[in-house]
Amino acid sequence: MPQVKRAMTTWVTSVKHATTDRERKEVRKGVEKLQGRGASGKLALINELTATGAFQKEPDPDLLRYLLEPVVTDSPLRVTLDTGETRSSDIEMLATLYPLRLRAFRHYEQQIAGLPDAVWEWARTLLLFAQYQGQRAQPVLARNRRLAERYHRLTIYDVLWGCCYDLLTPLSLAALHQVPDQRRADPLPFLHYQAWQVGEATARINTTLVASQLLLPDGDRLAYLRNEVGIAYQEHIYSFTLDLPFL
Amino acid sequence: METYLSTAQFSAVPVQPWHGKQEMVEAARAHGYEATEALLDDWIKKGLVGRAERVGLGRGRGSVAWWSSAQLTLFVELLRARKLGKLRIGQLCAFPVWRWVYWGERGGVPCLKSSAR
Repeated sequence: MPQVKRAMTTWVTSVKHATTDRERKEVRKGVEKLQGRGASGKLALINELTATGAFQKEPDPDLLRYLLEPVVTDSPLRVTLDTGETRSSDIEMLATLYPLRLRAFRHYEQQIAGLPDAVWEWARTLLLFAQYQGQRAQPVLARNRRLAERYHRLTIYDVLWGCCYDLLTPLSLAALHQVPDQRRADPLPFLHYQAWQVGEATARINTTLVASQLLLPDGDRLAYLRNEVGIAYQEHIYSFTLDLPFL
Repeated sequence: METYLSTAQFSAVPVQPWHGKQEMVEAARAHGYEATEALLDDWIKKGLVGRAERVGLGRGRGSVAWWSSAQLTLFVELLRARKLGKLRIGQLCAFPVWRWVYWGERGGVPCLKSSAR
């Protein structure tokens, strides 16, 4: 098995065997980041996330939404559901993705580890695309003083620590069939995993080190790691460039 | 072993292009980290370090196993993180995954297709 797949399997095993104390510590850190002004009910949320994260109980999306409401009080974006109801996108994302993440850990060996290489390549490309989109939205979000800490500018080192979780998310979306099947109606069909699975979409990624015009106090130029991504899909090339600074 | 470039952004160490197993361990020790062949084997099994590339020596002369300079720097990076950051195996797994996702071919963790063997 290739190195990345072996590393992910080792990581999943370590997370599944994490102690409740370690899980609680991680959950606390996460809740600190998420909490908004006048947050209340943090303990109940921490208890619930710890119990589900330590695989002691099944996650309940509705209960999570209920517990997240008084904690995540500053949410910059809203999503509109099929029913027309609008909700905080942060809460909706957490209530949806957290249970999915736990399912992904449980079924990793059976359903995710064996996904075809093309789907792993898709997950990598989607992750780069998500970082690219995040970078575009970041200046607007960071202008809000209450959100600046949560949406700070990311360096190449910042994305190191969460990258196993970040890679697992798209893999679990594909493996657990959480992506709608109608890829023809998808606004970004070249980023639909099924197009990659059947070989209709492929990416060429060129990674280089680039020096910006910005000078650091020591006189060095600020360096970036540049990923130039070109996705070939139905005789078109869809391109984007992600620059992640070192400082 | 001295680093020849150390800036606020990154540091670089002199390495040769390919390394045998013993050289991997010795180079890591030269950087000041505790390393053994058994540890390297264990980390290969766990995916922290890649498998060696086998190069044939010609008909009937067997083959040798080599690691790229990128895999050596990954090995040293992992030892450094373990020593300074007291990171557990699970946390160290982020390093090869990060290299694959963000550094691509430059990170020395090869594309899945070409490394499947």
